[in-house]
Amino acid sequence: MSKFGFKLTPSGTINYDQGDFRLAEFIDQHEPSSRLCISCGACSATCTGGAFAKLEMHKIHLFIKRGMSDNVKTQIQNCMYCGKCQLVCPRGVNNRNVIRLILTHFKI
Amino acid sequence: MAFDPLVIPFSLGLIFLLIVVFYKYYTWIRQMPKPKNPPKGLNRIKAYFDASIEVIMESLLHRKIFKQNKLLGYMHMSIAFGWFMLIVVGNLEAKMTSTNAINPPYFPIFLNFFAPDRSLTPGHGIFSFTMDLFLAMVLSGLLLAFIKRSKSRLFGMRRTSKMRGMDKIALYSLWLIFPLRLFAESFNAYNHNSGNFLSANCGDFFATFLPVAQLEYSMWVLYSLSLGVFFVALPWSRYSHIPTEVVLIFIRHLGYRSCVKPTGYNMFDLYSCSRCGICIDQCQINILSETNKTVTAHYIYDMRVGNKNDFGLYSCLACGRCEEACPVGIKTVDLRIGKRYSETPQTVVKYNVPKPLKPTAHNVGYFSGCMGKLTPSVIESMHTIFRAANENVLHIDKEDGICCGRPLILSGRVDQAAQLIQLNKDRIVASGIKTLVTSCPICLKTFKEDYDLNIEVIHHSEYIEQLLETRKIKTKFTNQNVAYHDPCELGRGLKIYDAPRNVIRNVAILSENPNKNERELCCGGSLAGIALSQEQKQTLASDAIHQIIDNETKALITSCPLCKKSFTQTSVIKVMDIAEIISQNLILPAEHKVKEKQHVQEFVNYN
Repeated sequence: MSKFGFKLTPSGTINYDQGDFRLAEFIDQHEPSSRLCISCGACSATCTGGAFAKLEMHKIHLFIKRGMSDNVKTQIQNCMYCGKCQLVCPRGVNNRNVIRLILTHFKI
Repeated sequence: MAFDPLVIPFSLGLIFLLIVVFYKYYTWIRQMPKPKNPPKGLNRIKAYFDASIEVIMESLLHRKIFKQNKLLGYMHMSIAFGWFMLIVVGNLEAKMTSTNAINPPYFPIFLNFFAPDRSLTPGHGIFSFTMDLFLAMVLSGLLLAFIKRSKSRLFGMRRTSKMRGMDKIALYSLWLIFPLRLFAESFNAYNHNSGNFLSANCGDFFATFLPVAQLEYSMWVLYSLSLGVFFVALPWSRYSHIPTEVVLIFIRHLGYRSCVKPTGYNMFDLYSCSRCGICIDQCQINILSETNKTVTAHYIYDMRVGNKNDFGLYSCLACGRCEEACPVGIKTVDLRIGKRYSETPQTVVKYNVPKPLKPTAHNVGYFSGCMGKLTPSVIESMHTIFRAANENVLHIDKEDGICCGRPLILSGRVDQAAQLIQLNKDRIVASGIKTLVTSCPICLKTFKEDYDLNIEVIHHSEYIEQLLETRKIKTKFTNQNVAYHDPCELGRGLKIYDAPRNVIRNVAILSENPNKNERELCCGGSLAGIALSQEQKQTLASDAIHQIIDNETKALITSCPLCKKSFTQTSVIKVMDIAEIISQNLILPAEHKVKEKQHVQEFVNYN
């Protein structure tokens, strides 16, 4: 790859071996609809809380699946629980329950 | 003083019960915050009087249950009122019989044992007749209760609560108390040639095949034992409602209220539940597969014994149907939100403060709410109505709309909700409006209950009703049949039933469904039902629609954007907000129509 002038930057790599998948398993078990997420971003576009603080639901789903649980922790508290993300979701993901489960998992 | 070892089980049980009950009530009352508006002076005396009347009407006569079903009402009344009268009349008779100034508490209970021959007591005939009459009444109630276990439909109940744990011990001992009393009294009546229509005849009957003289003492012992066991089991069984409900009625009249944060009041609520099962048929979660977990009667049991029941806690729609049906008036919604609150650690978050609104000369402000954002047709219709009425309205959350905080409250994150409430309140106060119109009942409830705004806050159906009354807008009548759905937060939550109906009657024929007003079904989309999946919500919605509409209905009207959204997903007919049906049937002058088209185009472009 380096021959062509490309290289993978460390920040962009997802190391599945070092990931913490406890949260992913926990959510998978209690809210199976989270598997349906296709990270289309409709939730983040409509998010009420996202307009006033950092909160991107589709990325949170990605982070969970990649085992990057730490990134989720701070963002998730900004949620206002209004439920718009759920109503616009084309896949019917129960986002509010996912958020509740994350909060219970981290005991925040 | 009369004494016999057979009174020991009864006396020990009673002493134990009194100690436990008083200790519990003392700790709960200490946990209660002072009421905001306690009745003072004469009102306080009136409050005590009203509470006493309510105790008689509800705890003894069970008026509310009578309203629901006569047979069910009689069953509850006969046991409660009959037993109460047995105690009262028994005490009076004991007073007349005994020469002592104070009798021990067991004396009236075992009066026939201690003083079997009372023919010289004044009013003996009346006393023995009333005692037999009330015993017969209690026994008839007991028979009905027994029948109810298998044939609950006769009592207007499709499902009843199941006995679990301590309830079983308490129930069986309760069921034994009165037959044993009948045996003891009738044997006693035969042996001493006394008694009235019930005990004397029963005594004669039993004497034909039983050695009554030998059995009498053991019957009294068993009677005392069953009372003792019942008293010991009572504080941990569903029968703890007997003393707790009375205290609850008094503290309610003295101005104590439940709130979303759990206090001692919630404990009184929790232990006032008799698990009579009236709420079970009201719960819509029953139509989903996981039935027992969410129903309030079952959930309260789990809460009391400390069972973990996450689905029951987080699938509740907080629609309030069980609260409306509850004959005791338990605040079931607050109980659950209180539990959610205690299970969630509270956090405070740093939000970027939205741009403050500049003070304007507008009198009316419009708050469309988060859900309104997802139903832009409602906002558009409201703007059409505002323009038709020539009202200059400030759209508060057109940009930088922040959530009202109610969803956070419903999920138990009360402190974070308080933060949003403060942010929102600052914006509303800064804008200088006099009236706040909102099209979302969820927001309306928080604005009214948690915001302490010094301005008028009304729902858009009330606002449209005002416009129609003052003839600021005119509508044309169409001959279409429509059904109206009461949103939970607007109907049961805020008791606004008439305004939307008056508005709809201006433009269409309103056909009412059998579940209207307090008994209206929830659309299933409630923000409280966090654990419900999308499919489960849609099942609830389609079930509700089929109960609300009939073949004649052309459109389903609701006044909540969230209800509209949930119904639209499954409805076979058109679902409209109340603002939409009005804006479609407005009578506008010709020049207004041209302007209107431009406005609509602008709105479409903006969105």
